[in-house]
Amino acid sequence: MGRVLLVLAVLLALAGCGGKSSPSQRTPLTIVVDGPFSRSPYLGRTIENGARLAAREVNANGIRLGSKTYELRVRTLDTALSPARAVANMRRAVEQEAIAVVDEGTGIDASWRIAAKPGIPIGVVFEGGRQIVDPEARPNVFRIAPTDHGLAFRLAEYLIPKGLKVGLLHDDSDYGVAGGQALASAFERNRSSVAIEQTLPADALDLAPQVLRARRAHATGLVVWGRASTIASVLTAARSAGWDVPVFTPPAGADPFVRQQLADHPQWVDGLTFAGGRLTAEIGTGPFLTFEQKYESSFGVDRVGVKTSGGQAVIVPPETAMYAYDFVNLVAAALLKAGSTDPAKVTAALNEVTTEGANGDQRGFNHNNHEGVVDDDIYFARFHDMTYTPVKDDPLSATLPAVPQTR
Amino acid sequence: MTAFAEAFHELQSGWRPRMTLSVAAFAVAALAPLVVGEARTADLANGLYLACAAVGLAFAIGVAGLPSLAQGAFVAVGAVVAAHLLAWGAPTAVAAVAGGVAGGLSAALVGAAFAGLPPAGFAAATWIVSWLFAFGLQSIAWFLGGSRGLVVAGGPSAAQHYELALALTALAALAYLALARSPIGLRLAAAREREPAALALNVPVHSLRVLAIAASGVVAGVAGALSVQLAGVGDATQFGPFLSFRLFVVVLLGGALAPLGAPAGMLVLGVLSVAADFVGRLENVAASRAHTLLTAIMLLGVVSLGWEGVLRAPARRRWAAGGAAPGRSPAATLDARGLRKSFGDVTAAEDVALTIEPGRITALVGPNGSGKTTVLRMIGGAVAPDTGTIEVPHGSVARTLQATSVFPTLTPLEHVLVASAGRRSRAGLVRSLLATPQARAEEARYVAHARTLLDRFGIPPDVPAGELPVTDQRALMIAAAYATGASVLLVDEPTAGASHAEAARVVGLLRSLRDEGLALLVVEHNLGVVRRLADRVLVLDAGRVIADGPADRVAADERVREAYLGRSAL
Repeated sequence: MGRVLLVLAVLLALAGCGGKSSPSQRTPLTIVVDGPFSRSPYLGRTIENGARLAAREVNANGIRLGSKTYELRVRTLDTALSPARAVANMRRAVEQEAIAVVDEGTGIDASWRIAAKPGIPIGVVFEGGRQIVDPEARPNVFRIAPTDHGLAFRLAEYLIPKGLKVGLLHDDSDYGVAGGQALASAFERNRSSVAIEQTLPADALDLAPQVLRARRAHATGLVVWGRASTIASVLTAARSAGWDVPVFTPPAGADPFVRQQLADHPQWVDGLTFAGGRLTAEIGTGPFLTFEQKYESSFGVDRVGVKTSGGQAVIVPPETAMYAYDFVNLVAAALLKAGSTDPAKVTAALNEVTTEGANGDQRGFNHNNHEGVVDDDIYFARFHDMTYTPVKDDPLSATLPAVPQTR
Repeated sequence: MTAFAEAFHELQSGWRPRMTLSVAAFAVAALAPLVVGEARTADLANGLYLACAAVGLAFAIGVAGLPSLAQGAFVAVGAVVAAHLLAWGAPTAVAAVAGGVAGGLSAALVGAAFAGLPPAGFAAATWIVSWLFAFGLQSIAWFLGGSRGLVVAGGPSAAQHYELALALTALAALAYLALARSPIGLRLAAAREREPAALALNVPVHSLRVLAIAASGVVAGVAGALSVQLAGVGDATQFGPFLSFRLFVVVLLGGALAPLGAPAGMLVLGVLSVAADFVGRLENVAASRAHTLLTAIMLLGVVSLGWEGVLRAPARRRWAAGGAAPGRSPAATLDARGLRKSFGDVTAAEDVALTIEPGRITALVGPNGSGKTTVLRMIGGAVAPDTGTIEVPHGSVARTLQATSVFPTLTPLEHVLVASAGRRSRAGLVRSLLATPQARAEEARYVAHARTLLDRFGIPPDVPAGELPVTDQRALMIAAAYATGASVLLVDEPTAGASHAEAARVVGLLRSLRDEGLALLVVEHNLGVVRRLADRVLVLDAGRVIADGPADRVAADERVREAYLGRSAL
């Protein structure tokens, strides 16, 4: 009996020595993904997948700090688009001693304080509201996503020279209200370009009266800032009334929901133009396509659920997943830089690290700027036959290659 | 100090093992923040705030019989007011009080508008109110910041909120118990069981119902005010109609008649929610949807099985008695002139004049449909005459109903206390809640008086009235009318269906009241009883008085014989 115990003890000691550490010996570090899984499942899932992909890659070798090796573990919490739930989730993240939170953005105005106490960094990867990021007041809040301010000013810059009289429509969702404010600010000095401003009820099934009002105001273009359902409803109301007005949107216009809603009338989607963060870098499509390939091999293809006129299935490029992926990679780099798993030190280190993003761009923050996507990276793309390509009448967009969206 | 010593002694003498268990449970619950993390503590605190709001709702449903589906809206009102005050830098206590006041006022408005509806109508109306509030919160961003929410920073920690919520829930449950056993609670219970009978005893049913719903709104408002600070953000999505629905289910699940029923219901729903989360994860159903489904199933279960809830009503109160009997109102004469009442084309009463004098019994007789009950209801104030005047000191008339109408679950002693509550000067909301020494002394006097009265009427005081023989119930109705202190009693068919011996007992009781100096108007079909009882008889035919005088003279009146007594004689 004594001999058996001795052998077991030797074996255990040997297992603990040298060589590459096996995952079971690693200390887990929790990354919490706080997203609207029940209310906007596609968005929640794509953020989660981006974070998981990055964690998986980081875990291939682990994060070695001193004598210990760490691995990232992703946990999800559902905000249901409720600020109160977001605050409760942040408390949970703190309780789980999360090293970072990847957040869609709902309720950040209230929840950031809770994470700020232990110094947990929050990476916002969808909401673009201007007030969300403030390096001085909210030192633990970072963003890798186009800002509403940037999108609105790029839209103004793009539309005003065209001589359009635009109707600025936004819904009363969090996303829509923030966008409406950004649009009002962007068009402030060119009020003559604005035919009408209207707030639309989010989730309304019929927006015909509001669209008719915009038409009667002699709008020659519509900028619609709101949830995907709002954009689909505006397109339905305008096109079913025979009004072929050009429609411009923030990134929500590329949400699969818009195309799914209008699948019976693909021609109504044609011409829809949206502004978004560019998917490809100056060096070309290579990095993004590599990322997309990794994403698809891990989680499968995100299908829109519609087909082109040629019968090819349309897929969604993993744009928001790319931002979550980049933020988790930055957190991993910050852990190494800080040499510590103290969230406050990781937050401080996030101001000093850069990584190569999924699209080949350099991603990083500094003490004065917590925005990971600069306004100059915002481009425009236009739908045709259920897929989109960068527009040719904008200097930046014209240089960008199209990303394949069919399989 | 005497008051505290007295209260302590009362508590000590009435202490039960169940109370020890409750205190122990609260003591253990208070330690929860020591063993669970901050997030779970915050969840528990939020659950307790909702339990607190549910206790308020339980009072409205269980005691007042008002199935409100707007409690979530009153929670929201408290939250809105508190969120704005806190955002302006007001202290937590101020925000909580303001939230409570706002919740109470909004509930009082809803109560004033809808408390007169039957229960189903009240439920429907309050459900619509709940939706209106939810639409308002979602559409008008000023209230709670729209979909972004209204940020509320600072305030107590989650653990402090938890202890506060626990204390408030305990206080709300104690307040429920105090009010349910007070004259207010007794009168509400009476109105819940038989509203017309309560009205006949001069119970201000509508006012008390408005008070009950306002009280439940105050609790909801305080809960909303504190929960919004706990959440750190005012979030309109948290105050939809589902919150009202959930609170309603919690109350039914836990037991509306038990002060701790609502917290018990919240506990059951919480445990089941954890199970639903688990099943939801297996079935890939979002937690929020799983909870909605679970709550709806719970409601169906509770309603379809006729379940009374996890906890039953507490044991009946032991009433302390002692002290001098309360005085009665001075004798009064009722003088009615030119009374007329029509219902469409039918004239039920025409130019009716009568005087009911102290120390006399006046009988009102006539064939079926002659207008007796209409005259009685006009005199009693239940219907307004089209024309005519009734002169009588305010509050000095009480009546019994034609049908046997006791409050089945209340004891005869409680009946008498319901009836006499209108005479008490120290039975208001605050005194009832605090059970002040003066209030307790006054109550003891009235209890002693009630026991004496029931003894005089030969009615056992402590059994549910619904279990009494019909004649005892008839006698109880008269005793209750007498206990109102009214000097004019209107008694509608007191011997209907009674045997000769039972009728004799009622006659004896009514004579004793007359001899005490009360003025009585008795509507009676039993002409033998009328002859033995009445000092004066009025005969109605087709809404008109056709004869008025002593029984013998009226019996000899030819018009009476023709119109009514053709087949028999007095």
